[in-house]
Amino acid sequence: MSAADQNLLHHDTVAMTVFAQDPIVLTAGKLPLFAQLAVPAERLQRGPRGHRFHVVDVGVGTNAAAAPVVLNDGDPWTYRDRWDADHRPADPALLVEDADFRAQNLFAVAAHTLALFERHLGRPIPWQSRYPQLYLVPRARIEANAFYSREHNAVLFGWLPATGDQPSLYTALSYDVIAHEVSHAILDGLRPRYTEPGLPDQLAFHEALADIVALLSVFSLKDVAKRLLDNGNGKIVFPGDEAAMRNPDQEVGRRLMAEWRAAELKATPLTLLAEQIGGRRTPAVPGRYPALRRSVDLPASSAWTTDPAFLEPHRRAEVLVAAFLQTLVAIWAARLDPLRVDQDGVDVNRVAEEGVKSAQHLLGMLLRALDYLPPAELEFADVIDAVLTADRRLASDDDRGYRDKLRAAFAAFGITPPEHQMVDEDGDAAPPPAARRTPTPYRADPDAKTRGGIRYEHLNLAALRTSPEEVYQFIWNNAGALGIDVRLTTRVERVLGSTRVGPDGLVLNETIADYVQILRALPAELPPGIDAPDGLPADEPVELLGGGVLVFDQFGRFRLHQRKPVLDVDRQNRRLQYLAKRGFRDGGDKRRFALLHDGEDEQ
Amino acid sequence: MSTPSRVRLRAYKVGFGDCLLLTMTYRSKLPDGRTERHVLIDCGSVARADDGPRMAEVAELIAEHSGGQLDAVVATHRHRDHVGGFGDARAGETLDRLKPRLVIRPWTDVPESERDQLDDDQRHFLGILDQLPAQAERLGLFAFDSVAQAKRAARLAELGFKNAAAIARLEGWASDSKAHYVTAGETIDVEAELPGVKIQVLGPPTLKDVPALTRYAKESEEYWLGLAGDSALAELLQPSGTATPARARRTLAQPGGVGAAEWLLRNLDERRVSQGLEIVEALDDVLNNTSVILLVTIGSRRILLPGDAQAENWSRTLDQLKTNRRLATALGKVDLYKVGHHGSRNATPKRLTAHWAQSAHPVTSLLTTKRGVFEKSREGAVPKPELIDGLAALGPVHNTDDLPPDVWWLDLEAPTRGPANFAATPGPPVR
Repeated sequence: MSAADQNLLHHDTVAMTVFAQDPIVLTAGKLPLFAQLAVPAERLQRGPRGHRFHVVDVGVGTNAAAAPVVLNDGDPWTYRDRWDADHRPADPALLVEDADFRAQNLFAVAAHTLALFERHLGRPIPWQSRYPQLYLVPRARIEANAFYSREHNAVLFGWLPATGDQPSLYTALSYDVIAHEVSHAILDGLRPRYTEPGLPDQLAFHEALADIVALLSVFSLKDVAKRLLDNGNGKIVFPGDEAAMRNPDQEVGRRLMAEWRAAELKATPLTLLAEQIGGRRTPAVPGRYPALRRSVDLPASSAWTTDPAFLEPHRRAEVLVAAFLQTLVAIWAARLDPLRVDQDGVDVNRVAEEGVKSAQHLLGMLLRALDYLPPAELEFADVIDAVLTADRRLASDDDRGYRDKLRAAFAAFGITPPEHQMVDEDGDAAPPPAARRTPTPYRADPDAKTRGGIRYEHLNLAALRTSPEEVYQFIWNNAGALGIDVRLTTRVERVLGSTRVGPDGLVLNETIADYVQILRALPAELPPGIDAPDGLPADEPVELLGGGVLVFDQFGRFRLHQRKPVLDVDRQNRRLQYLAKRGFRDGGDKRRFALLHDGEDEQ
Repeated sequence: MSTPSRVRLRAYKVGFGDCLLLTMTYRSKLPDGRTERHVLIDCGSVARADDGPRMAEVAELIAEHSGGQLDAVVATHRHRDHVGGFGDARAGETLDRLKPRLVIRPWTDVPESERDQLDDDQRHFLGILDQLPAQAERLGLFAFDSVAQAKRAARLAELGFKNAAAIARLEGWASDSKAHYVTAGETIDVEAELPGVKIQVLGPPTLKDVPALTRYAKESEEYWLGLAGDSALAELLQPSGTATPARARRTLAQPGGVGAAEWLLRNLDERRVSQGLEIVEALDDVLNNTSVILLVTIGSRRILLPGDAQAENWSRTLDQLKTNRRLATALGKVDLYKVGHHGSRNATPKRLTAHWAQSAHPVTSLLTTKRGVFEKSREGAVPKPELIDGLAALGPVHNTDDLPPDVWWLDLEAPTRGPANFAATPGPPVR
């Protein structure tokens, strides 16, 4: 065993060398930025192939195949990094053209991303296909784009060969692109119904989650934030500091300093997505990295809600990404407040450290909330609602005001958590007062009366943790109290255990059960108040969706109900109107999640 | 000053292609003794109408209908379905006799000898355009997933084949008389040739105005263009002699080609997205985007002639709608619209139809197309039903493909003043 060998049995993770951003993002010393990525240790087959990912290097249509790479010296329980600082070639261009390195880069970033989700949700996450491995194809097609294809159970990465004065471009070498596409695959495994035809927020959330994970997870890579912020002598200079400190009113000065620092932090490559692809698409601005998207600069306002350009999922997603990134820089700048300012700036180690903490915390808040999102019919307001609720359950006090900052950032974009949508048995949120309930087309089911609140009689609490039938019985017995009209087709789709650890080490064991309600009716027979839009064929049934999440604690007690009622007249009308405008073209199994989209003027 | 009293747009039934004769009628004699002026807008086809005329016959009709004199010829872009007729030996000879007094073409068609007036970027772009025909001929040989795809690709590639004879004839006319190589934003002075007619150019924009013209929609296309220029594209997309599916399976799906990757390899192969077709479509769009877009104003009638312009070509004009009041008003009052790109996807921008819907001015649409020439692709049929429905909501839609048997043209005629709009009259049956 050579010095670089790492034993896969004795460690939880191994360090694999990857490009921390992409080959064009350089340190102050003009060197490409590498990272030693922590990848869960497992037995590695040639490919690389582990128990969740399988890299297959084949060209679609051309059948050009690169032999699978072997990342060990014969013992599958060891791993050897052939590209660590001591072994990689000095010329990064050689690395870029090395198919073996590309395979490792892709595998490592993908595995790291999945581990991030699984750590925060406290359980393994299945792929939508229910096969153990997701395929990763590093040189699938000739294009500067990549996409997750559900029908292939694969993420296909594009590449462009070098031509003229342009070097080659491999999307499988871009951390952001890999993290983005793998996040699509992960969310599709968690919430497969988000690809059903629905309101525009649903697909936009797919894009937003993918962008946020890509951007925030980079922070957690050791030293990456530090090396990107470093001006070369271990310091970072905030140009506004001096003026802020001169302000006679100390309070005002502090506020200004935080604001100006936040503005500076916004401009780092850390908040930019897919620099190399971006550079190919937009002319370079001296002193500024190109980027495919720089959502952090989106002005906070609710103007997007009426702008048709924001119906396109990637564009719409920028609203959520901006809310998160603007919260990030605000939290980050606030955490810098106690740091000492020297003449030549602030210690970059400390600045980076605070950035890493802020990013990790914020990303954790989002990922821990995924189980609380409704299984169908997601809207942006549900996202902030789920994030705040999940965080409250894990960290009851919020001394640094993260929740307030996030709530404020969303509110600035006109997104506020719906009142009383999540019903919490603890009494945090009571069921809606009768007067404010959304109008329903039918009277309550007279057979569903529940006596004396939630009933647990006849339930097998052990089965409740795993069995959809048992959870359905719980719904059946408590239909009235839960406000679920079981006269409609209702199905419990999943029952899962989740173990989450909060920021101060609190462990929360919960059982999460998703149910879906489906209503199919001819346009003429839709429930009263729900109107079929013009142009709908009279003989084709319309499908309405609703559903929710039931959360039980470790003692089998009901704790929380996230509800998207199928008979929400207002939402269903908005959805039908929106789908009618789109010509009922959204959705379908073959939907592909690509990094980029086509022009907005297409008819 | 003489002003026309009536205007007529005559669309010949050439099948899949454009051949339009715009005729202005004047109340009194013009200085040369005629009372009419004639503009020929494109003349080409890639799929003749089943009962329609040959190109030579179309040219004879044009000679007859124009009284032996063409005052202007517009060649919107270099595709066969728009200029093929100029290259046809017999049709060309007939048109030569009509001695066009003015030739209007896009700036991208400036003859070789005048290219030194362009900047480096523009010359580079034109260099790529010059490579396209050869590339198109090669692309037709690609391996495609299905017969339908191969057919569509071959059709598209054929559009871009070299049209040397047509280009030579247009350049000959230009040197004998006058030529305008136009860019978006200019107004062509045609008072001498077409009194009382105003021609505004809405496209193509310059590369500086819309860099996306070369690099639009997806970065990859510029690459494909670059590669097409280097002739390196075919090798990258074609399976080479040694790369066979069986070899890929043996390499990647161990053991023995039946391992877990076999499922992926089979599925990618069966349901792959054909890159070949996408590239053929992309290169086709590059030429479409060089289309001249003309807004012709005669009295209070406005006719919009966009050739095959795609969204990227339109973008400069549409971006100005919010700030340029006069342009917005003029475009909002279009009476007659020659539907862009035979009614295909991406040629009639949503912003344009939305602008019309908002201005509530009725728009008569004219489609010059032939159904079934382009098989349904991922993007849908040509003409596209959703687009036609949308246009029908704005006003009448006429289609040369709907003309009765043996009727070889369709007239859309209107007085140049007053509220009356364009009335459609099919020509007489020829047999």
